[in-house]
Amino acid sequence: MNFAFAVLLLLFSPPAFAGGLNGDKVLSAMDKELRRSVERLRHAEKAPLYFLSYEITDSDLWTAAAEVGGIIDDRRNRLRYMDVQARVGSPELDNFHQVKGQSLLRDIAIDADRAVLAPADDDEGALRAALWRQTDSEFKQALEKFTKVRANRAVTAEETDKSPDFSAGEPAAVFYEETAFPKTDRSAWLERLKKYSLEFRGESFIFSSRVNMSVAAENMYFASSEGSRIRTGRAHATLSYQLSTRTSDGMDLERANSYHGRTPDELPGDDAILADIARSIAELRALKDAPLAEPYSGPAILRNRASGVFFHEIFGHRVEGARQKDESGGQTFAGKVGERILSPVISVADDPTLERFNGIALRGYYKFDDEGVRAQRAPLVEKGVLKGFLMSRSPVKGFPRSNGHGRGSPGFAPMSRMANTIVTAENTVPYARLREMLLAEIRRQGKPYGLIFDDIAGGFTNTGRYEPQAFKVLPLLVHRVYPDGRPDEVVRGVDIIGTPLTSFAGITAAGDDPDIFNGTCGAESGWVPVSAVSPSILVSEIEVQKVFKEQERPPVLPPPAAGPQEDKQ
Amino acid sequence: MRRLVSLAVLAAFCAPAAALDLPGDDSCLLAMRDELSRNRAGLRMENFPAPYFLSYDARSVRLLEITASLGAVIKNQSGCGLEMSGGLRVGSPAFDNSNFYGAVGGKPETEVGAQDCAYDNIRHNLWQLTDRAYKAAVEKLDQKRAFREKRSITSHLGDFSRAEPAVLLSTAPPQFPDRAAAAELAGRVSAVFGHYPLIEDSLVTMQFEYGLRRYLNSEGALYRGGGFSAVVSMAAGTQAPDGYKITQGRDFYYASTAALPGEAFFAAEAEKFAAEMSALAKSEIISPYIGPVLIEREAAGAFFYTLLARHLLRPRMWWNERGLDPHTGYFYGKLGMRVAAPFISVVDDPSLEQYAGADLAGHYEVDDEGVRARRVELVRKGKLVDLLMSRAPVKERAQSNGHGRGYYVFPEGTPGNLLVSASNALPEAQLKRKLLAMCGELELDYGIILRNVPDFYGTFTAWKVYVKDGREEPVHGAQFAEFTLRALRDIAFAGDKAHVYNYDFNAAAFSIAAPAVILQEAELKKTESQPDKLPYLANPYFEKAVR
Repeated sequence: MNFAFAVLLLLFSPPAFAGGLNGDKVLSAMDKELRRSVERLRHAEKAPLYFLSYEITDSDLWTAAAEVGGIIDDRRNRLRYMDVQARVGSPELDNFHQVKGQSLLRDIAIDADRAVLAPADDDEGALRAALWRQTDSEFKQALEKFTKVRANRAVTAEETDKSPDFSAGEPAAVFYEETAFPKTDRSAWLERLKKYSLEFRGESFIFSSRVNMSVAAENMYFASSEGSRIRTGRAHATLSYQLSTRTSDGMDLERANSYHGRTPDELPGDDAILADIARSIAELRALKDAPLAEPYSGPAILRNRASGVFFHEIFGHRVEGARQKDESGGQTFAGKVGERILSPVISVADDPTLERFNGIALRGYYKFDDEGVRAQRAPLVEKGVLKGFLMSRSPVKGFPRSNGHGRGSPGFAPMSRMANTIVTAENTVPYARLREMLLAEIRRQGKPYGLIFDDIAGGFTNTGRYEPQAFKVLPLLVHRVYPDGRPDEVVRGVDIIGTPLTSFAGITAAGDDPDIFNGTCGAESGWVPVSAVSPSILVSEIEVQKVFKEQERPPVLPPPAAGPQEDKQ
Repeated sequence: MRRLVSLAVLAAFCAPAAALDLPGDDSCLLAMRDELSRNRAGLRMENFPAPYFLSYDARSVRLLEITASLGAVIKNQSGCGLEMSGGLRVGSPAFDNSNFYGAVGGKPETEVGAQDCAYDNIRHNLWQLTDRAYKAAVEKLDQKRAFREKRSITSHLGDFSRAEPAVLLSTAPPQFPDRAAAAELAGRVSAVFGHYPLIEDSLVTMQFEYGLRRYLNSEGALYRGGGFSAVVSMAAGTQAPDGYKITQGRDFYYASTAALPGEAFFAAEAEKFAAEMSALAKSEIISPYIGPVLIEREAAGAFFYTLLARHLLRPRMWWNERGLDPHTGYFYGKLGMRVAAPFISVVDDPSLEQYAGADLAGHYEVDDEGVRARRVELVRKGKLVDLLMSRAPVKERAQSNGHGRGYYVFPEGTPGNLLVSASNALPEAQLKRKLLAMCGELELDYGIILRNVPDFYGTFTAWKVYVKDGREEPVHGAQFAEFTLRALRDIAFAGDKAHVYNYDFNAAAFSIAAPAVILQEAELKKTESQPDKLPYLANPYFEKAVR
């Protein structure tokens, strides 16, 4: 079926939704307004409106935070955001086509209106009026942008990747589930947060600390001119803490930890959290007194969660489908499908359908993406060989269909993004053995020491062509490991730097200790919840450089001691 | 109306803050006092001076914001919070780190503290805030010294005047509306716009706030007080037949839950507003006009906000590496000069809680530098006779008059309740007749009335009023060909009835009570901007099938 025929079929044969709306007033309002808009707008101008979708994200969120025994945040709010996507032209060429000289991804982001609120009440008239205003605005913007696209295409060179702008023929989905706000004993949790926050008070070297909690229920409604009618959602509870200090040479150091569950009941109990806090305090104390690390290149281990972040930052963003045809992008892996890009022991997939790993809730779990496409496992690398990309409905050469990774936060047009990035390895070994292998590698290379990265905060990576294709990740806790039997030594003040192809080639072995990093990822389509699962990995060569350092001095006075009586004399 | 129950009004010239007799159950004030005392005693870096002045300002607030449209609630958010800011000075009152744009210390340091005023939390946050403020202050003082040394500056006004520390502990009885009832009210009022098909977009927003402010400084000033405020706003948007978009709003302010009118009042105001917007939706674009203009209602408030309030701000000019201080008001250096028509007088009186039957948002007792608020006569018979003074001296005035206000910016001369009056006022009802008479003398077919001008330098709507029969016709797309401070001097007539309009500037709320005025002559022109396209489809809300 060619695209033109598919479009005609979709526009002129609106599916019946007798069973799809479930009496849901929000979906019903979306359905009616979408039908009216498609019917009357599709030929309103010379460039036809060939696709229209509505997404309403209903977010019910409780956030709380405690600091030094006091509650500094305690809010529960419910908001509905609406996103309208109007495409004019045809799937081969529409208003989302890249205007050369501009970043494709930035262009998408600019097209989106940021976070437009919709009525939170289930009032059909008010909901339809809000959708009508947004549809009118998006349709007008789409027409204007499409005119620019056609003019730009006529006067610029041919694209390397001539894929269409939109994948037609994706199956329409009808799905319905309701997600309730998890049962949460607010008062009890506030008391727990206060209790945890007081654990940091007695430590005079801790400059600031905070304990955060959030419980969220999100219901996503989606309707498209192709017939999709979806309500789906997810609930998530997170508890986290962070503590920081500043060294006498002006370096800010921090430790942090987080816990995740579908409901607050799935979060760990007091004993586990208090033990972790004690460990984090000890780690921060050790970091504060640690020597400064020097620039270094040599073997290293990235512990499991640190490795997960490493893969997310350095690999994951580079296999996002839209980047493969970004004319101004680096396209690191665009022409390498079928080629070996990683160590042969490593495989990577991204699987949003995984709700848990080892019983722990994964933040990147969902059933449908923000383009209404059912979530699918996307094989990315098998035994080191590149198999594919994270795909939204923006096709790239050789990958005409979405694999359910079109994601964005309210106000941002979806693009291909990570969800649950799962790194697996062949011939894994226990961590103790991996450490022995590190020592052997240090000796083989004649290096004075190696490094173990226990924790990584995040990082950033250049994907444009103008800048070098380099990355930088920001370790939080690093140990030096000596081959002569000296105890490991905590060091501070280094960032990992490198280029992706070289760095991935150096992975030589992996542990049998996969663990989860749950976080939130920011990119051109906004902030989306993600997870990364990885074993610890041994890398034959990693390069580190000195960190950027703030120039602030530590506080002049020590922190005030507890209690109101201390300074009265 | 805000009711503050005064617990204690102590004499000025009080003892240092550390010895203040504070209410033992106010853990926030106790923590502020203890941390201030500790920092005064010990905060000093080697080779740098210790602070000579330190103040803390803690504001706890409970908020509720509800937004509704066409009968449905869009936003219903509530929250509590406590935020603290600090003022810290190094050097001496003659020359310190203030009144200077430096590379650091551009605004006061702030921290978020515990909503329940947990003592340890408040002190911990004040410790961090003070440390940052101190380091910024010593660096800024050095930069300011360098600035002075590389220029030929022979005299200096001094930076911080002496003031009697205010001591006032009040308590405002907590009051707050019921959240569910407020949401229902907002929904019902917003539903009024559902009867006006020409209005494309409409919102009703209700913001309620109960706040308590605590202030103390190292000179012994001590203040606690606060109150309630409610702001009900209506906003609507439409498009004229030629495509120009028209958006306007109405605001209503109340200082107590008891003062809040019922649904009938807001519904009636919504009806009036919606009817006026519907008329504007059918309006034509303005034709060029030169002649008298009557400025009334919200436009009168905006007129005095734009030309008077904004230019009374910050009478002390800061030293600036990059030239003149861009924030100093136009009235800087104009004391004694004529700034308005000779029958116009202006006073600022923050002590007033109400005026002309309306609650005033600009009421306060103690300013943000610990000085008691005082009434100031600013303009007498058109001449500028005084300034809104903070503790930053100017050539003509050395002392504060309790108008040093600012929370996210360093306190500076800012209005409280600005009251505008005219000695030869006409009964308000006669102003339109006067306008028509003036137009008749000029042989004009019509005059212009401005009723809602969100921005005097932007595009707005107006009403043509015909000399022949007094008939009114709305027009849109109007702009002033020229709009300068001269307009204050060109006021030909003013009404006898002041109306209250409320604003805020850098988180300092202030009110303007002003009459309607007639400008002798103004030139209006058609906007240069291009109209938007009309909506492709009709609003589904008004389709029979939907309702």
